Amino acid sequence: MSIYLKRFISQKPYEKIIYFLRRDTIVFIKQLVLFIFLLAIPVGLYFFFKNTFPSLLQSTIFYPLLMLLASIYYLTVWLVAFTAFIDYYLDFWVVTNDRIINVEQRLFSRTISELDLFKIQDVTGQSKGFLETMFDYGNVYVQTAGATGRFNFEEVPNPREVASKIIVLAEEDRKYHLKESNSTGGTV
Amino acid sequence: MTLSVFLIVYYIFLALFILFSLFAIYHLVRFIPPSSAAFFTLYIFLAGAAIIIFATWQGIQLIDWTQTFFTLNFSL
Repeated sequence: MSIYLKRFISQKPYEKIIYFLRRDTIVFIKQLVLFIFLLAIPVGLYFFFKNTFPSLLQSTIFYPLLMLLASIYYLTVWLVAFTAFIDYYLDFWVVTNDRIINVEQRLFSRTISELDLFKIQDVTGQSKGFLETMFDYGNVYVQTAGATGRFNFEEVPNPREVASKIIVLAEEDRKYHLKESNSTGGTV
Repeated sequence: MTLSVFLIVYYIFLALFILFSLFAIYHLVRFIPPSSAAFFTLYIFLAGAAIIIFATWQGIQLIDWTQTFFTLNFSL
């Protein structure tokens, strides 16, 4: 396990990392395109006002106001784009042969949750819509027997492959726990 | 009321911008490995913010902020 992952999870001696998943790169590219579009809006408005209301840009009151508003707008978009990158980069899922770990980052919170593979009841991989089907990314829904309900991997690459692999791993883990409980005489 | 009111509002926004940026940078520095390419994004962010603030300063430095744009008249 890398030093980076050790900051978040403590690996058990028999544990092997099968998947380290982030949202697909195309999701980040989609956000990047949106931010580039948002950054271009004031430029379009500037040319619109310049051609339609040229006096407005020369006004001693409106010009400073527009300058400050444009600055506020650009700084806000810039900060939101940066935060979106951090959110993309620091949200990830780790699938090992024993459990699934979900690390979720928000501006003021960080959540690390984990799920034992043997508790999994159902796994669904889903790609919805044109882009998800084209670039083969989507959601993986992991259903457990407990009250915690669903454990979701959002917009990860190859969702169906990940789902099938988790089903196999869950089955192996269930067998391992069953064998272990039989040998100790307890219940799973 | 003078135009400097806009400037005060802008300074308040800048203070909030710096505060939120520090939160975001803290998360990045704390949770991302030092050798990571994500640090490149931090440099891009800081450079972009500096360019926007510098361009704003260039654009507004010649403005007379003591101009009045709104007068309150209470006389009856």
